[in-house]
Amino acid sequence: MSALPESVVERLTSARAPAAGRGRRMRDWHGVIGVLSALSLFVLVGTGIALNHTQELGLGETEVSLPAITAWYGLRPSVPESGFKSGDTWLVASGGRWRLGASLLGDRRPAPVGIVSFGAWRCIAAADALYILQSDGRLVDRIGRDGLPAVPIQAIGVTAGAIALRAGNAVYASTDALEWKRYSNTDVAWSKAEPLPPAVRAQSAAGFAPSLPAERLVRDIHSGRILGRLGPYVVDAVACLLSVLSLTGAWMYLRSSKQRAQLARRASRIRND
Amino acid sequence: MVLLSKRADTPARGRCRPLAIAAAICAAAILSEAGAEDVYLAPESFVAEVFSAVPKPSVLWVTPPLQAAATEILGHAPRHLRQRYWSDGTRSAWILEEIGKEEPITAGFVVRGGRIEQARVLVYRESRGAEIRYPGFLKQFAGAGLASDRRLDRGIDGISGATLSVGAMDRMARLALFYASQ
Repeated sequence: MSALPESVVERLTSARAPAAGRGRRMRDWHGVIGVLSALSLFVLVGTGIALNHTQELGLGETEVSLPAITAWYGLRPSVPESGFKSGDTWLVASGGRWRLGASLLGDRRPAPVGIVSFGAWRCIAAADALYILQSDGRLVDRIGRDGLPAVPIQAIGVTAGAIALRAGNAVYASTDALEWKRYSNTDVAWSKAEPLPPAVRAQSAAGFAPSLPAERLVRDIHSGRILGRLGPYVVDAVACLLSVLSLTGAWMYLRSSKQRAQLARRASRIRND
Repeated sequence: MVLLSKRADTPARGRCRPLAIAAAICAAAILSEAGAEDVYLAPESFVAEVFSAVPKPSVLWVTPPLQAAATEILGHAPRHLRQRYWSDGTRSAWILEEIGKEEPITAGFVVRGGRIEQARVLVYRESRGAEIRYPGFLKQFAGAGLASDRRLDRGIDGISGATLSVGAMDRMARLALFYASQ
């Protein structure tokens, strides 16, 4: 097909010049929005498909322990230098987890301030809670601020037939961890932090490796929550960008179709002239 | 064949502006912290509201038979083997915790005559679903009792987007009624 004469080209393009600026701007925006949203779209598609097949992929049972990811979630892998001794057993706490000997007592626990044995119980005190456990580690009770004589608890100990708590400048004692009375005697044997023996540290290191379920990670990425409180709004913004992308694309397609039709009609008229 | 005009150069500043705005939004999202717990009513305040003279706490020991029943209600073993409660002989107040989706919800229940007199959400820790704290939802529990199958004797309408939190409240209500009947 031979090129049109220059005079024809000039007639055609001069008629379109004012409208060409709008088209360029739209293409620019379309391109920018496409670049901005491309990576996010791939992430959303990938995580969305994964969440639709959680069971088949075993995401709920798979634990992620990559240091970069666990650190982002605030899961610290460090093993402390000290712990609390209860008889021959050590209470070691790290990253919200408690280990009493070889047993993991649970996670999402606050930092302990001490442990004592009281009858058949083991009592572990934190700053604003008292945990009472059976000898097998099963939780008997967790007493929060509402059941404690005062907070923050600074130390826990035992005295004649009673559990003692030190909070502020006062000491309180109780025989059942329900009713507390001020205690003024000085015969309390307080629990104190002690340096961990090397063997105990080594045993604890393996038990404190942080991890989280893969499903949790995928879900947080998909929803944007992995970015914090504003993360979902970022995902919302990406969704809006994709909507704008489709609209600009549709606008350009329709405009291009219209222009091609106009060019064809003009070319036909020029040939017939 | 040239039919279309050549693209005019756009100032680099103009092309970078949308990217800069997007980058700022992402940075703000990354630097923001996730939500913590929302304390709507401290447990001790809940008890103080229920009783004009707060009684001493009593204890219900969750013995193996009670553990079995509680496990049936909760779908898992009860968290504590000793459940504290407050009672003036007519009413009893129970403060329970149950995980909604990932975090525990702390709720208070007042039981009188084998029926729930009041239900309150005390502490909410999930990132969404906190609509369960509104009176419009909680009033459904008023007057509810325990049926023979240890389910509530009435249906509780759910809240869209808070299904798991609603389920947790339902389980705690049933547990409070069960414990109060012991």
